Amino acid sequence: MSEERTKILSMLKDGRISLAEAEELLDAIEGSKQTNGNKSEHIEKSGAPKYLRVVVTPGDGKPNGEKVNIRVPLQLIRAGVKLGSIIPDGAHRRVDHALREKGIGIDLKNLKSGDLESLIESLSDMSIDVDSEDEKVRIFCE
Amino acid sequence: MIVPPMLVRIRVIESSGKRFRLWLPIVIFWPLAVVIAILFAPVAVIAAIVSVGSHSVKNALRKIWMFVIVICSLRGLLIHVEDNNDEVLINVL
Repeated sequence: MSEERTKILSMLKDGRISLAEAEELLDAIEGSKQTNGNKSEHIEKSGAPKYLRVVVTPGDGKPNGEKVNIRVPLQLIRAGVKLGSIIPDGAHRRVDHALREKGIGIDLKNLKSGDLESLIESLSDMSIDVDSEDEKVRIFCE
Repeated sequence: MIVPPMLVRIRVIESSGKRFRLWLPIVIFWPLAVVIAILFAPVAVIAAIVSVGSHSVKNALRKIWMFVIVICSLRGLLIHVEDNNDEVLINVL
Protein backbone atom coordinates (compact mmCIF):
# COMPACT_ATOMS: atom_id res chain seq x y z
CA MET A 1 0.00 0.00 0.00
CA SER A 2 1.38 3.42 -0.90
CA GLU A 3 2.26 6.04 1.68
CA GLU A 4 -0.41 8.47 0.45
CA ARG A 5 -3.10 5.81 0.62
CA THR A 6 -2.09 4.87 4.20
CA LYS A 7 -2.15 8.54 5.19
CA ILE A 8 -5.65 9.01 3.76
CA LEU A 9 -6.97 5.89 5.49
CA SER A 10 -5.48 6.94 8.82
CA MET A 11 -7.05 10.39 8.42
CA LEU A 12 -10.38 8.68 7.76
CA LYS A 13 -9.88 6.44 10.79
CA ASP A 14 -9.11 9.46 12.99
CA GLY A 15 -12.25 11.14 11.69
CA ARG A 16 -10.33 14.11 10.25
CA ILE A 17 -11.90 13.56 6.81
CA SER A 18 -15.24 12.14 5.74
CA LEU A 19 -15.72 9.00 3.67
CA ALA A 20 -16.58 11.08 0.59
CA GLU A 21 -13.44 13.20 0.98
CA ALA A 22 -11.32 10.06 1.38
CA GLU A 23 -12.81 8.63 -1.82
CA GLU A 24 -12.05 11.87 -3.67
CA LEU A 25 -8.44 11.86 -2.46
CA LEU A 26 -7.95 8.19 -3.42
CA ASP A 27 -9.40 8.89 -6.87
CA ALA A 28 -7.01 11.82 -7.27
CA ILE A 29 -4.03 9.59 -6.40
CA GLU A 30 -5.15 6.95 -8.92
CA GLY A 31 -5.61 9.63 -11.60
CA SER A 32 -2.12 11.09 -11.12
CA LYS A 33 -0.56 7.61 -11.23
CA GLN A 34 -2.31 6.84 -14.52
CA THR A 35 -1.24 10.15 -16.04
CA ASN A 36 2.40 9.55 -15.05
CA GLY A 37 2.21 6.02 -16.50
CA ASN A 38 0.86 7.31 -19.81
CA LYS A 39 3.60 9.96 -20.02
CA SER A 40 6.44 7.48 -19.51
CA GLU A 41 4.84 5.07 -21.99
CA HIS A 42 4.63 7.88 -24.55
CA ILE A 43 8.30 8.82 -24.07
CA GLU A 44 9.36 5.18 -24.42
CA LYS A 45 7.32 4.77 -27.58
CA SER A 46 8.33 8.05 -29.20
CA GLY A 47 12.15 7.68 -28.74
CA ALA A 48 14.61 9.30 -31.09
CA PRO A 49 14.42 8.29 -34.76
CA LYS A 50 17.17 6.04 -36.09
CA TYR A 51 17.05 6.54 -39.84
CA LEU A 52 16.38 9.25 -42.36
CA ARG A 53 14.42 7.80 -45.27
CA VAL A 54 14.06 9.14 -48.78
CA VAL A 55 11.63 7.21 -50.95
CA VAL A 56 10.89 8.12 -54.53
CA THR A 57 8.28 6.12 -56.42
CA PRO A 58 7.09 6.66 -59.97
CA GLY A 59 3.87 8.58 -60.29
CA ASP A 60 0.83 7.69 -62.36
CA GLY A 61 2.13 9.69 -65.31
CA LYS A 62 5.40 7.75 -65.50
CA PRO A 63 4.84 4.20 -64.24
CA ASN A 64 8.25 2.99 -65.49
CA GLY A 65 10.19 5.72 -63.75
CA GLU A 66 13.01 5.35 -61.26
CA LYS A 67 12.49 3.96 -57.81
CA VAL A 68 14.74 5.30 -55.09
CA ASN A 69 14.93 3.95 -51.58
CA ILE A 70 17.53 5.53 -49.32
CA ARG A 71 17.96 4.89 -45.61
CA VAL A 72 20.65 6.90 -43.86
CA PRO A 73 21.43 6.07 -40.23
CA LEU A 74 21.17 9.24 -38.14
CA GLN A 75 24.19 7.94 -36.25
CA LEU A 76 26.14 8.79 -39.39
CA ILE A 77 25.05 12.42 -39.04
CA ARG A 78 26.23 12.43 -35.43
CA ALA A 79 29.56 10.94 -36.54
CA GLY A 80 29.76 13.51 -39.32
CA VAL A 81 29.43 16.38 -36.87
CA LYS A 82 32.14 14.85 -34.67
CA LEU A 83 34.25 14.47 -37.79
CA GLY A 84 33.77 18.19 -38.33
CA SER A 85 35.88 18.86 -35.24
CA ILE A 86 39.00 17.45 -36.92
CA ILE A 87 38.55 19.31 -40.18
CA PRO A 88 41.26 21.96 -40.58
CA ASP A 89 40.21 25.60 -40.14
CA GLY A 90 40.74 26.48 -43.80
CA ALA A 91 38.47 23.67 -44.95
CA HIS A 92 35.89 24.67 -42.32
CA ARG A 93 35.76 28.21 -43.65
CA ARG A 94 35.23 26.91 -47.18
CA VAL A 95 32.44 24.55 -46.05
CA ASP A 96 30.70 27.32 -44.09
CA HIS A 97 31.05 29.66 -47.06
CA ALA A 98 29.56 27.05 -49.42
CA LEU A 99 26.68 26.44 -47.00
CA ARG A 100 26.02 30.16 -46.68
CA GLU A 101 25.95 30.46 -50.47
CA LYS A 102 23.19 27.82 -50.48
CA GLY A 103 21.29 29.81 -47.85
CA ILE A 104 22.18 27.53 -44.95
CA GLY A 105 23.53 29.67 -42.16
CA ILE A 106 24.91 26.90 -39.95
CA ASP A 107 28.36 27.17 -38.45
CA LEU A 108 29.35 23.50 -38.21
CA LYS A 109 32.15 24.17 -35.73
CA ASN A 110 29.74 25.70 -33.25
CA LEU A 111 27.19 22.90 -33.55
CA LYS A 112 27.12 21.24 -30.13
CA SER A 113 26.12 17.62 -29.57
CA GLY A 114 23.19 18.77 -27.38
CA ASP A 115 21.84 20.94 -30.21
CA LEU A 116 22.27 18.06 -32.61
CA GLU A 117 20.36 15.66 -30.36
CA SER A 118 17.41 18.03 -30.06
CA LEU A 119 17.53 18.56 -33.82
CA ILE A 120 17.46 14.80 -34.43
CA GLU A 121 14.65 14.34 -31.92
CA SER A 122 12.57 16.97 -33.66
CA LEU A 123 13.16 15.18 -36.96
CA SER A 124 10.80 12.42 -35.78
CA ASP A 125 7.89 14.78 -36.48
CA MET A 126 9.20 15.72 -39.92
CA SER A 127 7.56 14.31 -43.01
CA ILE A 128 7.85 15.78 -46.48
CA ASP A 129 5.52 14.47 -49.17
CA VAL A 130 5.78 15.72 -52.72
CA ASP A 131 3.31 14.31 -55.20
CA SER A 132 3.65 15.10 -58.85
CA GLU A 133 2.43 13.36 -61.98
CA ASP A 134 5.85 11.84 -62.66
CA GLU A 135 6.96 10.83 -59.19
CA LYS A 136 6.13 10.79 -55.53
CA VAL A 137 8.78 11.78 -53.04
CA ARG A 138 8.63 11.06 -49.33
CA ILE A 139 11.24 12.17 -46.83
CA PHE A 140 10.77 11.13 -43.23
CA CYS A 141 12.49 9.69 -40.19
CA GLU A 142 11.84 6.34 -38.58
CA MET B 1 27.52 0.90 -27.75
CA ILE B 2 29.40 0.95 -31.03
CA VAL B 3 28.63 -2.06 -33.19
CA PRO B 4 30.56 -2.35 -36.45
CA PRO B 5 28.81 -3.43 -39.64
CA MET B 6 28.82 -7.14 -40.39
CA LEU B 7 28.01 -7.37 -44.06
CA VAL B 8 28.10 -5.16 -47.14
CA ARG B 9 25.85 -5.98 -50.08
CA ILE B 10 26.52 -4.36 -53.42
CA ARG B 11 24.51 -5.11 -56.54
CA VAL B 12 24.87 -3.29 -59.83
CA ILE B 13 22.85 -4.35 -62.85
CA GLU B 14 23.31 -2.39 -66.06
CA SER B 15 21.00 -2.27 -69.04
CA SER B 16 23.86 -3.58 -71.19
CA GLY B 17 23.63 -6.86 -69.32
CA LYS B 18 26.63 -6.34 -67.06
CA ARG B 19 26.01 -7.59 -63.56
CA PHE B 20 28.02 -7.16 -60.41
CA ARG B 21 26.99 -8.73 -57.15
CA LEU B 22 29.02 -8.69 -53.98
CA TRP B 23 28.32 -9.99 -50.51
CA LEU B 24 31.23 -8.90 -48.39
CA PRO B 25 31.15 -10.37 -44.89
CA ILE B 26 33.33 -7.71 -43.29
CA VAL B 27 32.69 -9.34 -39.94
CA ILE B 28 35.64 -11.62 -40.74
CA PHE B 29 37.96 -8.61 -40.85
CA TRP B 30 37.10 -7.34 -37.38
CA PRO B 31 39.12 -9.93 -35.43
CA LEU B 32 42.08 -9.03 -37.63
CA ALA B 33 41.45 -5.32 -36.98
CA VAL B 34 41.32 -5.98 -33.24
CA VAL B 35 44.67 -7.84 -33.41
CA ILE B 36 46.21 -4.95 -35.36
CA ALA B 37 44.76 -2.46 -32.85
CA ILE B 38 46.23 -4.42 -29.94
CA LEU B 39 49.63 -4.57 -31.65
CA PHE B 40 49.42 -0.89 -32.53
CA ALA B 41 48.36 0.21 -29.02
CA PRO B 42 51.86 0.09 -27.39
CA VAL B 43 53.32 1.98 -30.39
CA ALA B 44 50.59 4.62 -30.04
CA VAL B 45 51.21 4.94 -26.29
CA ILE B 46 54.99 5.28 -26.82
CA ALA B 47 54.44 7.83 -29.60
CA ALA B 48 52.07 9.80 -27.34
CA ILE B 49 54.61 9.78 -24.48
CA VAL B 50 57.54 10.75 -26.71
CA SER B 51 55.65 13.62 -28.32
CA VAL B 52 54.04 15.11 -25.21
CA GLY B 53 52.85 18.60 -26.02
CA SER B 54 52.74 17.88 -29.73
CA HIS B 55 49.27 17.87 -31.19
CA SER B 56 50.20 15.86 -34.26
CA VAL B 57 50.12 12.43 -32.57
CA LYS B 58 46.99 13.34 -30.62
CA ASN B 59 45.31 14.47 -33.84
CA ALA B 60 46.40 11.32 -35.69
CA LEU B 61 44.93 9.08 -32.97
CA ARG B 62 41.77 11.17 -32.95
CA LYS B 63 41.44 10.80 -36.72
CA ILE B 64 41.80 7.01 -36.47
CA TRP B 65 39.10 6.91 -33.78
CA MET B 66 36.81 9.11 -35.92
CA PHE B 67 37.35 6.78 -38.84
CA VAL B 68 36.25 3.83 -36.67
CA ILE B 69 33.16 5.76 -35.53
CA VAL B 70 32.18 6.67 -39.10
CA ILE B 71 32.62 3.05 -40.26
CA CYS B 72 30.47 1.83 -37.37
CA SER B 73 27.82 4.48 -38.10
CA LEU B 74 27.37 3.11 -41.60
CA ARG B 75 25.46 0.14 -40.23
CA GLY B 76 21.93 0.24 -41.58
CA LEU B 77 22.77 2.34 -44.64
CA LEU B 78 20.67 1.46 -47.66
CA ILE B 79 20.90 3.00 -51.10
CA HIS B 80 18.69 1.37 -53.68
CA VAL B 81 18.02 2.98 -57.03
CA GLU B 82 16.35 1.09 -59.85
CA ASP B 83 14.44 1.59 -63.02
CA ASN B 84 13.33 -0.88 -65.66
CA ASN B 85 16.84 -1.70 -66.86
CA ASP B 86 19.38 -0.62 -64.27
CA GLU B 87 19.73 -1.22 -60.59
CA VAL B 88 22.18 -0.12 -57.93
CA LEU B 89 22.00 -1.44 -54.41
CA ILE B 90 24.37 -0.68 -51.55
CA ASN B 91 23.37 -2.06 -48.21
CA VAL B 92 25.43 -2.10 -45.04
CA LEU B 93 24.13 -4.53 -42.44
